[in-house]
Amino acid sequence: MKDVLYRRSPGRYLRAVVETRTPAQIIEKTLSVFLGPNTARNAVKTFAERSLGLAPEAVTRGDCPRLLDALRPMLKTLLGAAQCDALLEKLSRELGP
Amino acid sequence: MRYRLAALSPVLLAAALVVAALASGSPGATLRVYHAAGILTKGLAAAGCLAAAARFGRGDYLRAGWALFAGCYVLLVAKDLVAGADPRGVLAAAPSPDRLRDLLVLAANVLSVAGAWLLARVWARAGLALPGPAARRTGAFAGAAALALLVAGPALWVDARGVFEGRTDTLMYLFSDLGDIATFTLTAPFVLTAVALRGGLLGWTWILLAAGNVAWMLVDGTQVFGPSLLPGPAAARLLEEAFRAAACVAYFAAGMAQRWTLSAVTVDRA
Repeated sequence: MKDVLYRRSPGRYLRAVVETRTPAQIIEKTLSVFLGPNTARNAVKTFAERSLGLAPEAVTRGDCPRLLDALRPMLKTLLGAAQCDALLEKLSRELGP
Repeated sequence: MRYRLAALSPVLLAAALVVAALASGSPGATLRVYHAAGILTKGLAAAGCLAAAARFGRGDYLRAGWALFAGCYVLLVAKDLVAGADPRGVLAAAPSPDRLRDLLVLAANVLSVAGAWLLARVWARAGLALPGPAARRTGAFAGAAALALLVAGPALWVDARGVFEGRTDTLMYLFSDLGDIATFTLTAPFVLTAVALRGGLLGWTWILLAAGNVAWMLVDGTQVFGPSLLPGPAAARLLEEAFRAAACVAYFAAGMAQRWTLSAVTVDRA
């Protein structure tokens, strides 16, 4: 996230919040609450490479459903099925369509 | 905040046990303090592990691990109830042989090893490698196995000799020693998991599980080395009971930390 000021009209500026994080960073941030920053980063990297053949920074929003599906077995093991579904649903909402 | 309190609880309860034992006044009263503390702390451990298992759904991988730990501690409470306050015969002429007590110890050890095995394999099951370079992982396993043999090896040697000499009463203790060695060796993946999950809510669970195993190792270590290193058997027994209480309460805290973390996911969803 980044605060930006942009000029709407001469002499008038508007403050807006612009999402500057990549989808992988959004996923990593949410997972890190539970898994810690190191494991969250490693998990996103491992499953992005394994399921998409991409580095995390190359993952687009369109790739996210497949990446989230690839993360599902890991999260199901560590958190249980219900919690895994809740977390992935939250991430899906956050990442948007 | 509650995670930090949970992490402090093993130390606080062990300290409370030491104070109660020192204030008890007579050897008989001290044994009753140990007995009550054993039932209380093992009961807490069973409750904590059960609380964690219950938070998982049917078929979830870790539910079985926590349920096995809960079963182990329920059996240890039953063992304490069966054995009474003086199973080692400190006040009596000799320890009282008790086949039911031995069977409960054996079954508890089997459940403990099975639970530890399931939890130790969580990384492989999750599709991830244990964290750290291979040399560090191997070193951690070798170090844990060496420590396990150091603290449980002497008892294993004595009990194995007893079995070979035809004394079947030591067979249960032999299984218990083997269970201790297996569980202590599995402390390595617990520690590596705790290191990998540090900074996350799940990290607390694994730190506390590892702490519980280390405290159980200290129980065995005190039994082996305490009488020669400490001033008298009473001091060694006091330290042993304090470590045992800390180990059980660490398992209680680990179970609660697991439950809180799973609840945090669901609450966050709402």
